[in-house]
Amino acid sequence: MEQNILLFTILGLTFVTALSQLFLLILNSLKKNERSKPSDLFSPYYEKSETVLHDAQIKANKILTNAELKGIEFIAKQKLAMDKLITELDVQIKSLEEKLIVELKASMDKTEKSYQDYLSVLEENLKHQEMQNQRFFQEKTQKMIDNSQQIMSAFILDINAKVKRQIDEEFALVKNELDLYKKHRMEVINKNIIDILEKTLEQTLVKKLSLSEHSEIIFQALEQAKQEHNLS
Amino acid sequence: MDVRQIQAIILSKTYTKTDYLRRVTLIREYLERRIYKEPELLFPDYLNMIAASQFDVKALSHLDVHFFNLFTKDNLYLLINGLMDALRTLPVLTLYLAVILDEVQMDELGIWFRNNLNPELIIDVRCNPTIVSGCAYVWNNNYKDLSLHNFLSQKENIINKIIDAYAQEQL
Repeated sequence: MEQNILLFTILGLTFVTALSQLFLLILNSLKKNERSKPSDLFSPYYEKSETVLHDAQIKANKILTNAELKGIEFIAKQKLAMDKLITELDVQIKSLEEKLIVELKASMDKTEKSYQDYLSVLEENLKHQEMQNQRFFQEKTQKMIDNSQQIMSAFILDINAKVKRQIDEEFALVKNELDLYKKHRMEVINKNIIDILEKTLEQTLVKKLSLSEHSEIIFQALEQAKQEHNLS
Repeated sequence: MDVRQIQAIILSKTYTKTDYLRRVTLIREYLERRIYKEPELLFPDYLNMIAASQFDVKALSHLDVHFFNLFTKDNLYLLINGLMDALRTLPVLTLYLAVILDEVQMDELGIWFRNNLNPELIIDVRCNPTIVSGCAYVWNNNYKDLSLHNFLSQKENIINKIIDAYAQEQL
């Protein structure tokens, strides 16, 4: 790109030089035509200026030629240098290319290897993560199950305790009622025990006791009443 | 000798109302026979003749000829009625027994009551099977219960304890 710019610059200069030469030639030709009518007052100055102009023109032409030659030389040198440079560049580029290719290969290999390593690491990590997740899932599930079991157990224990308490209360109530009933019945029985006993004895003693035994019992009762001063 | 004295002679071996009435009847019947039919009839022979019980014979054995000579044709029924009326003036002990005891036991009871309550009392025996055993009597309008029922009532607590102990042991 830079070479193209330089080339265009040189070509531009050359074109400008050529145009200026042409312009000068045209001017000269015009000036020659005008010399045919010089005035008498200005003729020495006119001749001097023409000489100067002529010298300047010649110098300008020389400069232009030198510049042109220099330009062409420069261009040629430039071209050679460019060719050399291009050749060197090609070589370097090639070597660089080869180097780069080698490096690229190496880098590709490295990359592939690292990628493989990365994949394997990733795979391992994934496996590890999967196992961790599985373990975590199992732990969570187990925890949930344990929690559920605990809650169920607690619930069942609570229900058991409540039911047991209710049953105990009912049982205590029933027991109280039974005790009260028993007590009441015992009181009734105790009140009637004398009658019951008397009736039982009436059934048995009357038939079993002899007259002498009856008489003995009567005298014992009378003696006891006498001792207790309870006769009358 | 007045009615009271005659009564006292009879009552010396007679303790119950029924015995008293029976024996006064026996005396009246003997005297009627002796006065109106057989003047020579002796009281023991009469008792033998009518097959009186040995108990009555024994109880009336102390009635001798002098006793019966107190009764004449004129005063027989007067005295007999007097003896019947005098029965009502005697202090009566109403005795309730579970069974009717024999004469000997009744005499023993009579002696015991006369020794301990009143020497002139006479016993009116009633049979009350509900007494079961022991006795009860009414004296001076006071009822005295010496029966099994009274005994059981007095010992109610002890009996209840015994029954409870038995129930706990056996049941």
